[in-house]
Formats: sequence, C-alpha cells, structure tokens
Amino acid sequence: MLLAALLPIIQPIVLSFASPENFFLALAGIAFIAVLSSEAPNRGLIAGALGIFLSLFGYSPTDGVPRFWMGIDYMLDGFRLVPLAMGLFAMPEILALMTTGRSIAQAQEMEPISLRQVVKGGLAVFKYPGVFFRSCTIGSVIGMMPGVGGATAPFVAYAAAKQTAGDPDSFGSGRIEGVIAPEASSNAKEGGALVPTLALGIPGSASMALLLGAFIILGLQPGPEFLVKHLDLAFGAAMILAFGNVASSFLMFLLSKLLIHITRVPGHALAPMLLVLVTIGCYSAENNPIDVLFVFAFGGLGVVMERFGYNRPALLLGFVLGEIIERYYQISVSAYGATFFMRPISITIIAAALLCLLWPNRKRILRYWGYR
Amino acid sequence: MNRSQTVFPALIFAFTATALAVGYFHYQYSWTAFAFPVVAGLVVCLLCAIEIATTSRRRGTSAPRAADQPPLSLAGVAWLFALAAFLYAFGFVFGAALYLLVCLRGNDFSWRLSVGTAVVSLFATWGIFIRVLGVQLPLKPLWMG
Repeated sequence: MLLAALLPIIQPIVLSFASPENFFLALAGIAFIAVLSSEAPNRGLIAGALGIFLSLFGYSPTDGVPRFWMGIDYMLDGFRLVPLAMGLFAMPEILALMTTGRSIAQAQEMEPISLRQVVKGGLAVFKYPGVFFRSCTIGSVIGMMPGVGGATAPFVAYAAAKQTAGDPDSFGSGRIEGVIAPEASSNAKEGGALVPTLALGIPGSASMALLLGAFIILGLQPGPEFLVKHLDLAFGAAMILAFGNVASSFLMFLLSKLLIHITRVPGHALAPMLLVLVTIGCYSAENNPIDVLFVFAFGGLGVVMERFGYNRPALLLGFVLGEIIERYYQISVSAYGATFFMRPISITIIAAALLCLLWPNRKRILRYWGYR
Repeated sequence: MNRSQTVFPALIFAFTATALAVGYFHYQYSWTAFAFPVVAGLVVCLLCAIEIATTSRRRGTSAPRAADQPPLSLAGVAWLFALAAFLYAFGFVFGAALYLLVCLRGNDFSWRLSVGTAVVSLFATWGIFIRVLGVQLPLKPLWMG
C-alpha cells in the first residue's frame, strides 16, 4: 500500500535526479558525516576527502587507465575495502585491548544479565519514538535515492540524533539513542530501497540490484506496471524484509546472554584471538596475503587518526562512495559541461547542505577555528 | 602549539602531493583520467594546509582528540605486528596457532590455556575455515611461495 501510495509522489522526484544531483548528494553525505560527527570539522573533512582520494587508486572507472599503481600489480585494482575497514576500526580497538590488558567490560560493571534487562533494552526504542521515527524516515528517504548507496543512512541518522540531542557531547559514551538511530535507519533503508526497485525498476542498493536480477531471471519486469500486475509479490517482498528483521532481532535476544561473556575475557587474551580472526577474515575476502599487509598499514593509519581526533567513518564513507562520485562527476561533465552544478536541483542540494552544515554548527566551527 | 599535531596533516599533504606529482610527471595521465584525482587531491592538500596553519597559530590549547585513550605501549604494538611475522614464517594455520601460544604465554597466561587456545585455533582454521567453509588459507609458510 505504501509503495502504491508513494509511487505518484516519488516517481517524478527520483526521475528528476540525474548524475549531477547524485554527485552532490553523495558529496553532501560525506560532508555531513565529516562535520557533524567530529569535534574538529576540518579534520573530519580531511578524512572524508582522503577517503575519496584513496578510492581513486587503480583502474579508472570511466576509461580503464590504472592510476597511481606504482608498478605493483596488486594496486591495479586499488586499495580494497575489507583491509581498509578492518584496519581503521578493528586494529585500534585490538591495540587498546593489547595495551591495557583489561576486558571490554570491567568486573565491577558486570551484572548478571536477566531477561528483564534484555526486555528493557528492547523496549528502549519506545522511549525515544522521535529518534526512532526520524531515523526510519532518514533511512527510507536515503534508501529511495538510487545510486547514492544506503551506506550513508546510518551515519546521517546518527549525526541527526546527535545534533538534536540536548547534550550531544555525551554521544559515544553509551547513550541508547546512538544505537537506535543508526540501527533504525539501517533497517529502514532496505525498505526504502525496495520502493524504486519495484515501482520504477531502478535498484536503490546493491542488494536490491540482486533482487532486480532475480525478478528478471524469473521473467518479471519491475517497473510502474509491476505494482498493478504483481502486487502480491510486492507485498511478499516487503513482508519478507520485515520478517527478516524481526527474526534476526529475536535471534540476537536469544544469543545476548551468551555473547556477553566475550566482554569478560581479559584484553591480553581477547586481542590476539581477534587479531587472528581479523587477518583470516581479510585473507578470505580475496585469498590475497597482501590484503593482510594492508590491514596492518591501515591499522597504523586508524591508530593515528583515533589519537589525533580524525573522523574514521568519514574516511570509510569517502572511500566507499569515491568511485560512485567520480563516475557521476565524469557523466555530469560529459552530459552537462563544466556548469553541471548550475542545474536548479543541484543548486538546491548545495544550498540546503551548506545551510544544514553551517548554521547549527556556527558556534562550534568558530570555536574550533579560534575566533571566539 | 603542539608540533606533533601538525605532523599527521603534513604527512597526508606530502602523500597526496607526491601521488599527484607522480601521476602528472611520471605517468602523464590524460586529462580525462586525471581530472577528478587532481580535484580531490587538491582539496585534500588545501584542507591539510588549513589544518596546519590553524594548529600552528593555536597556542596553549590542545586540539580535540578522542577521550579515554590509553598511552601507546611498544609491547602492545610489537605483539600486534608480530602476527604478520608468524604468518609469513609459518603460514596461516600453524602461524596463527603458534602466535596465540606465544602471545598468551608471553602475557602470563597458563600453559593449559595457551596450548588449549592454540589447539582450538588449529581446529578453527583448518577444520572450519579450510574444510567446512572452503577458504583457501595457505598451509605452507608464505616465504615458500
């Protein structure tokens, strides 16, 4: 029903988004994360821009020229996502565990997990309906935008929750809204991505592209007529998505009492085990031992970025979206010339992004730059 | 001013500028292939220059950084990077098990726990990853090719 109701509204919006709009939307997504999730906006922007630059190593997506490969065959395909993500996020945590030797949860903080606590955690979402519904809306809207990639949704939702909270500085110290926001938007983006996939035949994410392929293999053509002819399948897809989320949540409820024991393992024992798993996981991605070397290299980068307050999610997001951004940039320049940013929707996106970024943060930015 | 805080953006600046210089002078990329990296690289360099300038003129205040960070210990870093040496010397299956044995014993855990963990690691890497999941983890040391 939601699909059918949204179709007349979203069809002109989605179809009016050409490559320049997608280019600016992706850039705005990175800028949001860089500025909003960081104490130092400039350092966040450096991280985001560096992520984009690192994604440009290897074959160019438009003409196939290998860039910055330094004569190393591995670099023909550029830096890989798995070693980068593992290095940036897992290695600093493993090093912290290795250095302190403490378990993740301190002994005095440990309480036996009761069913009541699990239920309390589950019901926390109803205590913050504003955060929940806003994050779901953010996830759905971003998921509907074909080509932007749902990877931005959890970050944008987290940033929005942080920005609207009374004391944003307390985010990152265990506030439940910081969990509700990204999780709600992460689940909602898949539902949002279903809308253009089924209604317009345009996949909103990589998983939806697979679903589209499966429909086509079965002889079904998603598009405006799909909802008329196969409304049952559309409902089925939406219900499976919802049921999958509920089933995985239920599984986590059952496993939570077991998984909590991991937090009690001393850091000196847990760190080497995690490190072995990280390296094996990285190797398994492409069966390439050089990936493991890059885990350590990016691990060093992650440690330094964490120490100096550089925004690691911004770098990762820049890296993930870098190739898409370049592709949209090349298409935009080819199709619309150097003044592609003068399209009305592009100007609106740029203006809205600048306003949303600068206005609420004007005091923080001025304080950071030392002009107070 | 804290000089160490200017080193990281300076390194990023140097890395990006070097990559762009290599692309322009050595590889001589076409404008089509090089336009976007130039734009992205120049943005990185510009932001780094601003960061260095801002940090240099900020006196007596510490720059924002993540709270509750334990000081880096050389031993921790050494244990971390030791795994790469073990994997290279003994392969993924035996190297990982040996690393866990040495690392746990080196951190004063009991022989029983250390050997037990190493055996579980052998079972997990060979039994689960190789046999069940079909991951082609190298059994031979990496230096043997």
